[in-house]
Amino acid sequence: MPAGVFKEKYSELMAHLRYPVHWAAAAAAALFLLLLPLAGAYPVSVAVDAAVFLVAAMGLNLTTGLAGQISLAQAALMGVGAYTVARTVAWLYSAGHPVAGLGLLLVPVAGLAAAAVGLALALPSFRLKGYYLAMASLAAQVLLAYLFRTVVDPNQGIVVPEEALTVAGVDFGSGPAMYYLVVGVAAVLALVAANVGRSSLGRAMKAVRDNDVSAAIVGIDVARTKALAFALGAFYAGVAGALYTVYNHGASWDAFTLATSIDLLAMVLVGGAGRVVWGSLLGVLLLRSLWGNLDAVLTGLPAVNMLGGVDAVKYLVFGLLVAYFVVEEPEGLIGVLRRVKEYLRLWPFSY
Amino acid sequence: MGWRWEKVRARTGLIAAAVVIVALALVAGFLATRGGGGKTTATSPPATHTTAAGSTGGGGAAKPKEITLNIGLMVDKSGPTSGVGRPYAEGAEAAFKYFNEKGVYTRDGVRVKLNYIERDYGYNPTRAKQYYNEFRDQYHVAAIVGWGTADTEQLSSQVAKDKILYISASYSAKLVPQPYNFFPAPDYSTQACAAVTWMAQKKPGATLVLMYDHTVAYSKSPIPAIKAMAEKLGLKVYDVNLPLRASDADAENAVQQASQYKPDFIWCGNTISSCSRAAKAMAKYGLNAVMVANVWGFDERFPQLAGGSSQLAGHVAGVSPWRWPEGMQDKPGYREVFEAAKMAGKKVNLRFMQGFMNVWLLVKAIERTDSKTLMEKKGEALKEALESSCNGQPIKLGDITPPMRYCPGNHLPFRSSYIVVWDGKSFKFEGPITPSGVDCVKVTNEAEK
Repeated sequence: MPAGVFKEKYSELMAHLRYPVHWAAAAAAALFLLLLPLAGAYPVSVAVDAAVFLVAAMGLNLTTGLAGQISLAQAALMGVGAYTVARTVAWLYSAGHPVAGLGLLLVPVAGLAAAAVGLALALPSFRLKGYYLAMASLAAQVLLAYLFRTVVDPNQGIVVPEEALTVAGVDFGSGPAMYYLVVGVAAVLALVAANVGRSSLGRAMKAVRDNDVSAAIVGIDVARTKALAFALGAFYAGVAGALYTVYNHGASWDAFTLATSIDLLAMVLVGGAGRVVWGSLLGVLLLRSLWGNLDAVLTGLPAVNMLGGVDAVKYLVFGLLVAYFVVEEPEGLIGVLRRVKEYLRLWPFSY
Repeated sequence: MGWRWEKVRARTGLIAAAVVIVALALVAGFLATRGGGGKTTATSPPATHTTAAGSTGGGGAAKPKEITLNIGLMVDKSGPTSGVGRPYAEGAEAAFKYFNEKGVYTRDGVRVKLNYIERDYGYNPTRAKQYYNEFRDQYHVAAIVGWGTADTEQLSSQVAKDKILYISASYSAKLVPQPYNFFPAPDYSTQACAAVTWMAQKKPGATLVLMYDHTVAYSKSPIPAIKAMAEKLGLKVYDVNLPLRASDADAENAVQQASQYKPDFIWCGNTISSCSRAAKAMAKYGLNAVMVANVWGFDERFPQLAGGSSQLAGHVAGVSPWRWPEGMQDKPGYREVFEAAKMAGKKVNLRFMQGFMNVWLLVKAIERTDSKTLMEKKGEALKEALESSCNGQPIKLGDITPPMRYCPGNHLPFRSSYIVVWDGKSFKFEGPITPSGVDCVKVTNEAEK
């Protein structure tokens, strides 16, 4: 019996599921996701919320983690996607036109609309790098948020009627149907994002991230790569925003503010920048899904009221978490988990 | 060296099995905690009682000794309306504590304990929807005491579908036809029409400038009705934008824009923090107009927040459907408010009273239903209890409100409001005024659907 692992075909080596443990984990995860609706409506809504933000975080991880282009406008791009769906449906509905299923049909359109705006955001990146690019994207975020608040959605929220989310009699706006739709889309987009990282485009992005001058010398079209990075990240954000509209039966500008952009960036940093699928997933789980539980834990504690209320303490915790991870764990939670895996691989031996 | 490969295989199998077990354990954990939860923040009663917190209890002849209801409390303690939101939240919390101590009983004498779950949503409709999902799916609440206009309006069709009673601090006219939304006051549009009527009485043919945030649903709510009423009564109307979170510079900017129209009256449609800054700017620039603020824009703190200038005397006023609590502690209704404040160690003011009243309305609903209906239909039972006031016995919160009637499809309890004027030394209540000639609720509901 030969020692080690021998793959006989290139496709076996490049496969996502290479070892028995991968297959077991994938089966367990698929089982868990399929059976989650049995656990009740609240775990389902937490899972859908996590899936929506996972898509947005993966987009940001592509732009910032993989290609190194700092973007503080991801939430505004989500908003572009969300309002593409919400405004169009609301406008057609109030004009009396039939809108059956339109909300779902518009999801890919929303992604493309956001990608178009993302391309516009790519223009400053041809000249600016690092902090200056961050400022430019910050300006875009603030400008788009202002437009949402005053022109697109001056009533603090647009409601999407249920018929727009119903296809063939199934209401995709609530319950298990919505869950399977959103989680399914998120899974497909995760697969795409994982493959981008392994493709020639992904390698070009990493080259541009590490040193764009050297990348240009080697022959990579830096401008095209940067533009694709922004467009791809924006497409993900647009789809995430559209799915958020499906989940919330509407869109409201308070979900797409600078605070949300910073939240998404924090999710990417804490989870692991550059690890598009798993880093984003860990970041979302920690900073979004578990975040809701903090409310239940903190409300009613007298110490919290002394410190200024639940909101203030949550900001405190958030700030401390992000600061710790940026300083001590630059690779994020993924780095932590990798060290755990290495330890377990040799356990009980230390080397 | 086959034995090594087998060891790798065995270890891999173990890890895989562990992953599967962990996944199943998580699912089991979700299933176990479903329907439970709910923080007990009121004083817990002795352990010997039967509780029926969730779905239908035993539908037998035996009455439960006590029912525990989960109630959601959504407040703004950190957002742009927190200036009025924080004292309101104090009033609601004190009311829960007070009523739990004194005891709430259904019509057939079964005691009901109110277990409230508080969430601060910072005036964000998206967070409100998240917390609504939590209230409905995690805690299975029977009723929600809510806050803001935008989120209450956006949730109104959902709560009707989910059959959860919703009592809001938003008195928007768009909520009046909604089946599960209630509030113990005339709606914003009716109140604003009363204010416009008062203005026309004081000075016929006057010029009115509307100062409000053009991007906030609550501020925009009564505007179509005001314009309709003003047109009917012959007042000239102009619009100026004043942000909800206004700085002194924003307020001065708005006042300067308003002064170009030479107004006799200024309507302020925001909460007290921006309206008081606008009044301060009015005194600074010597603008000789009378500001009338909406119910959330004017209370006991206004003269002090507006800088305390003597120029404000006779020039600032507000709408209020009820008399303010100061000096009224001996009157029925107000007595309970003062008792609850003493119990909670807080001071009584208008916002505290408003928070108290919203919880009291919920208690009135429980007192009008019997235990069996309450346990079976929960939110629907409470809604029917409130609507029984339409043809039956009206609801009164002591002497604070006139007799209130909630009719199906028209949850407008009463239509009169006072205009409270600051005369430099104290607050004078003029009225009550009931607007007529224009159906202000209808105008608001038909404007820009």
